[in-house]
Amino acid sequence: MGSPPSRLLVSAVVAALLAVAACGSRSPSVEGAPTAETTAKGDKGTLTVGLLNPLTGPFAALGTDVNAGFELYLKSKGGVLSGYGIKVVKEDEGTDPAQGTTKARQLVEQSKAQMVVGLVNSAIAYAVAPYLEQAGVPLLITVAGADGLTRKKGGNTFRVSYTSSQDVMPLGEYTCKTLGHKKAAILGLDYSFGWEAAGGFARAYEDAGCAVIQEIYAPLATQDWGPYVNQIKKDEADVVYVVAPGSDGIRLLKAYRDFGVKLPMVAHGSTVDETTLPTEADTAEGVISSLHYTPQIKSAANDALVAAFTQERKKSANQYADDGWTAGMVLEQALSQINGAPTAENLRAALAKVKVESPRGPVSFDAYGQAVYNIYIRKVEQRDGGWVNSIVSTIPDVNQFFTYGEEKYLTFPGYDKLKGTWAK
Amino acid sequence: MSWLTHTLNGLAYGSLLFLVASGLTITFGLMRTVNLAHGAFYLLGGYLAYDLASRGTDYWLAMVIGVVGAAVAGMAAQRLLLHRLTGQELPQIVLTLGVALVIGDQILAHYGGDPISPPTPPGLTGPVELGALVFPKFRLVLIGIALGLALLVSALLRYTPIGAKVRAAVDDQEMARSVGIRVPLIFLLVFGLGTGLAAFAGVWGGAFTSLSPDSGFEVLLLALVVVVVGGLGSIPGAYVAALAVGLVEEFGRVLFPGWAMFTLYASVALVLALRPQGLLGKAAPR
Repeated sequence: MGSPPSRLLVSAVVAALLAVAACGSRSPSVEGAPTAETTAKGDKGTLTVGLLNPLTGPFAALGTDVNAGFELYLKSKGGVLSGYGIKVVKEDEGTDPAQGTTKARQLVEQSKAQMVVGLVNSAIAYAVAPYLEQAGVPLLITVAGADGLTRKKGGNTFRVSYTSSQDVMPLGEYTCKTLGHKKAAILGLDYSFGWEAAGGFARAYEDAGCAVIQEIYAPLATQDWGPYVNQIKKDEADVVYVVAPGSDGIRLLKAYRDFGVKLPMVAHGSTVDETTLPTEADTAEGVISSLHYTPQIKSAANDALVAAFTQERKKSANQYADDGWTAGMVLEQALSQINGAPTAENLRAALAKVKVESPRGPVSFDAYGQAVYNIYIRKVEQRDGGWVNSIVSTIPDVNQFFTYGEEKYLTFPGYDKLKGTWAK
Repeated sequence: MSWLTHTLNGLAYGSLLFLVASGLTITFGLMRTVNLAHGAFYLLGGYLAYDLASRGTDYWLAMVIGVVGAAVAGMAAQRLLLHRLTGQELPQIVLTLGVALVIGDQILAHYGGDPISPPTPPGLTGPVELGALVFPKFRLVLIGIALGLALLVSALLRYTPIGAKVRAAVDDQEMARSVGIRVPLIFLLVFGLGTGLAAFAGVWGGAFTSLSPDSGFEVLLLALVVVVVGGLGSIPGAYVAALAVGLVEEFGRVLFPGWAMFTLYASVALVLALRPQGLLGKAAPR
C-alpha cells in the first residue's frame, strides 16, 4: 500500500501539466455568452455591430474596459447613433487566434454583423483582418497595436488605438531634446509589441542626437525583474526607457525601486496607465511617459467619459475606455455622412473621412486607416490621495510615421530586425 | 559585486518558489493528492490579505486572516470533495482543476482582472545598502524565512508525534487506522497546513511578483517543477530544488537572455533524466 511515485502518479502529473497548459489562456470568465439586448429603434433602421474583445484570459480586463467604453457611449446616446438603432453582439476572442477567427466568422455569418469593433491581441488581429476584408465587413481596431496592421492604403481596416511605435516616437525626441538625457538604456519585453515600442523610441531618440547604450529584453510574464534591472549600466546611462504593460510593469517598477536604481525613468504610456497605476503607486512616482490619453485631459468630451466610466466600473477611466468610447463616436459620425444604405462600401468611405472631437482630442484617419491624434507627455504624480498621469506637454496631430513622412518611413526595415542594433 | 547580487537574488527568488512549493510538496508529494487548486489557494490568500489591508486593516492581522481563511477553504474542499477520491489521481485532477477555475472566476468577479499587489510587509520596503551592494530588504528577509520554514516543517514531520502519525497515515492507511490513528482527521489537518502555506506564499509572493486572476496557474507550474525535481514529499528536497531553480533562472537570464524560457525546463529535464525520483526523493521500490 505504500505509494511511492507510481507510474500512474507520473502520468497524472503529465496530464496535469497538459491540463494547465491547455487552460493557461482559459481562465475566469465573467460574461461569456453573447448578449441579446433590446435594440433601440432608429429612424433609419438598425445596424448590427460585433464587439470582439477578450472577456477571458490575460487580457480580459482590457477587453471589458473597451466594451464598457463603447457601450457607455452608446447608452449616452440612448442606443441610437445618427438615426440608427445599434444592435450590439458581444463575442469573446479569448486571446486565442483560433477562437478569435471562429468568433469573427460567427459574428459575420450568424449574427450578420455589419461592422466589427475590437481586438486586443495583434496575433488575432492579423488572423481576423484578412477574413473581414474578404467578407466585406469593415473592422475598427480598438487596442491591437502591431505596426503592420495599418500599412495598406484604402483598406478595410481602421484603428482608433495606437500603432506600437506611434505614441513613443515623440517621447524619444522629448527625452533627448527637452529632458536632455543623452544616454539611454532600454528595458523592454521580448515580443513584437516590445520591439516596436522600443524601436520607435530609439529611432526618434537617436535621430534627435542622443545615443542608446544598452538594450535589455525580458520574456512576457517575467515573474522576477531583478536579474534584468541589475544589468542596467547605472554608471553610464542617464535615463532608462521601459516598455512593460500590465503586471510586467508592476513587477518591473517594484524591482527598479527595490534595487535602488536612481536613474530617471521614461516609459511607454501603457507601462503606467490607469489599469496598473493604482497598484504601482509610489513605485511609479515621477515616471515620464507618452500616450494618446490620460483621464487628466480637460474637456467636456473627456468629462463625459470619465464620469460615465467611473460610475459604471468603479475605477479610473483609461486608454482602453477611451478607445471604446472613441470607436462609438467614430461610428456615429461615419453613419451621419452616409447617404443611402450603410453598406460596407459606404461605411468604409465614410470612416476614412471621419474627424471627431473625442475625449483624447481631435481624431481622424490617415490614408492607411490609422488614427491621427494628440500625444500627451505625462508625469506620474500624487493627487487627492491617488496617483495620476498629469499632462506635461501636448504634441498635436501625431501620425504613425511621426515626422519622417510615409514614404521614407515605409522604407525602414521592420523593428523585429532592428532589435539589438540600437545600442552601439 | 554584481555576481554577489545575482547570486543573492537567485536565492531570494528560489526562496519564494520554496514558499509556494512547500505547501504543494505536503498535499501532493506527501499526501499523494494531485492538487491543481494549489495556485488558486495561493491567489485566495493573497487577494484576501490585499483586500483587508487596502481597507485599512493592520498588515499582520490581514496576513493572518488571509492565511487562515484560505486554509479553512482548503479544508472545506478536502472534507466535502477530495476526501471521496482518495487514491484516484485522474478524478482528483479534474476536481481540483474545477476548484481552481471556480476560485479564479470568483476572484475575477469580485476584484476585476487588473493586476494587484499585496503590500510589502511594513519596514521591509526599499533596499539595504552594504557598501557597494544594494539589495532589497524584503528579498533578504525572504531568504531567511524560507530557510526557517524548511527547518520547521521538516522537523515537524520528522521529530514530532503528529509528524509520525502523518507519515504513518500516508504510508499505510489501513495499518494506521488499525492502531487508532484518525486518518481522515490527520489528512484534513495536513491539507489545511498545505493550503495555509500556499496562502502565505500568496501574501508574500504577491508582494514580490503581483497577482492577477490567472497568475495561479503560472505559480502552480513552477511549484510542480520544484516538487518533482526535489523528490515527492521531501521538504529538504523541495528546498534544495527551489534554490537551484532560482539560481538557474537568475543566471540563465543574465548569461543567456535569448534562452530565458528554455534554461529552466532544460535543467529540469536533465535532473529527471539522471535522477527520476528527484534530487532527494526515495527511489521507488519495485
